[in-house]
Amino acid sequence: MGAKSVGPLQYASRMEPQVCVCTNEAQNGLQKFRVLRSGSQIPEEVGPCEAALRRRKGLTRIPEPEPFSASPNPLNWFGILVPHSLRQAQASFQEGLQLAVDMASLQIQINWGQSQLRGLQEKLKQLGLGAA
Amino acid sequence: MLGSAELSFNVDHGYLEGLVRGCKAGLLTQQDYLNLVQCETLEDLKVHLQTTDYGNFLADQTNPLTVSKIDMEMRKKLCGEFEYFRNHSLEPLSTFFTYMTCGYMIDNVVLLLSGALQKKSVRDLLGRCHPLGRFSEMEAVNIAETPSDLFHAVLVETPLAPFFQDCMSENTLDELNIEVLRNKLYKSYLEAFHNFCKDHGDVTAEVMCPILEFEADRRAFIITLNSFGTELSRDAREALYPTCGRLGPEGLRLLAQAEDFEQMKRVADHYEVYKPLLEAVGDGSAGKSLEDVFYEQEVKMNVLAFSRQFHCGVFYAYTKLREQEMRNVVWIAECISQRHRTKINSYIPIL
Repeated sequence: MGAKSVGPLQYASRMEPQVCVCTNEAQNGLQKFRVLRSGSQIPEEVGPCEAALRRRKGLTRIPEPEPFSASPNPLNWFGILVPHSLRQAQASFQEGLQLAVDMASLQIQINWGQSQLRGLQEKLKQLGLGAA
Repeated sequence: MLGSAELSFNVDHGYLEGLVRGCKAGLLTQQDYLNLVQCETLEDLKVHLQTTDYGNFLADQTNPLTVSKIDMEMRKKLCGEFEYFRNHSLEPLSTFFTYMTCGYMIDNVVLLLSGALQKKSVRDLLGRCHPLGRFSEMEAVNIAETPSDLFHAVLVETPLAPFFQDCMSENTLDELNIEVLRNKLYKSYLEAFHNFCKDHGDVTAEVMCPILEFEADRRAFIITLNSFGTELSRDAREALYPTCGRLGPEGLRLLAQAEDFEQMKRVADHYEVYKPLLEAVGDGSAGKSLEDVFYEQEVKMNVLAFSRQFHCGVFYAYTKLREQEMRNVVWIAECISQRHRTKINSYIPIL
């Protein structure tokens, strides 16, 4: 028990993620990130996907049947009575995950806004030069 | 024989007691910790440790220096000292040393079993086992499927055999059952150790019994805290509490009913030793955790063990103080190597 009983020997070298991030394109052509739990499926999406861009069409693809209904909590790799600090760390990470994904989406919008601004400034400069 | 420790202890164990007191004088002092905390890199840490009792213990480590190498070398040094004491000891001190190693053996057995569950190779796992808990049947542990297999095939010749009485009922060794097995073995071990010290009588009993009672109660509190929100039922939890502590059957029954930290605190309020400890726990990530508070209390009791003479408890206390020192140095080294120095002073001072 205690911190010394938690170590890299307790998890397998191959792990299945519990949560994936997937992207889709919103109406204005920008990418948007979303957190998707593996095991829960939204009808329009196909389940865990890579970060490649996917166009949302009207048709839905049939999701593959999941072999297990609930993915096991990774905290159980370290035994049942894990140190309290590990549990708190898992809870904080889960809270931080959604924030990180929202930040990435906002970052894309900021970058787009900045490139628009630069484009308009260029145009303004050219119009100014053309008028002079 | 009451009061005969002064007459007979030194005949068999005087040399070793002198040796362990000398080793205890080599523990890191407050000044050493102040120097270590100001180091910028792990190389600085190594240079500062050369001026202490550790000397050139990292001399044949290749670059780059990592925290796990420092930890491994410190542990090697402690094990060298422990083995020296053990090889030179006579009865009843040698049985005392055997009892001390049983705790580490239990940890090793559980490590091997859970590693087998994750399909890790036996070689990796053996490298990670605690050297003080080494026994010759270790490689065969991972073939066991059930606790009775484990007992009959592997552990029947080891000192762990008498602790298996309550553990034979579980069927397979999955994650929940391995944890339950670990705690039940440790409970039997602690109670057997406590009885051994009590039967020995004399100064050893006066010093070791309070330490072991505190250890039993501490395990009860920590098991309770860690089991909040898990699938461990209250009765299963109560079966894991060692009974040789101050909490007694009444306190353990109250603790088994606790569902959150506040209720646990109310149980501790009945005991004047544990009330201030649970009140010193800060909430969240700021302030001390329950484990830190218990470590501090353990250090206090172990330092006090050296104020009496002619007893076996000095060996136990020295080993535990060295382990705390190792935890402190590893904490400081991790803070330095990760460049996250805000909590670098949260080590537990010993002397």
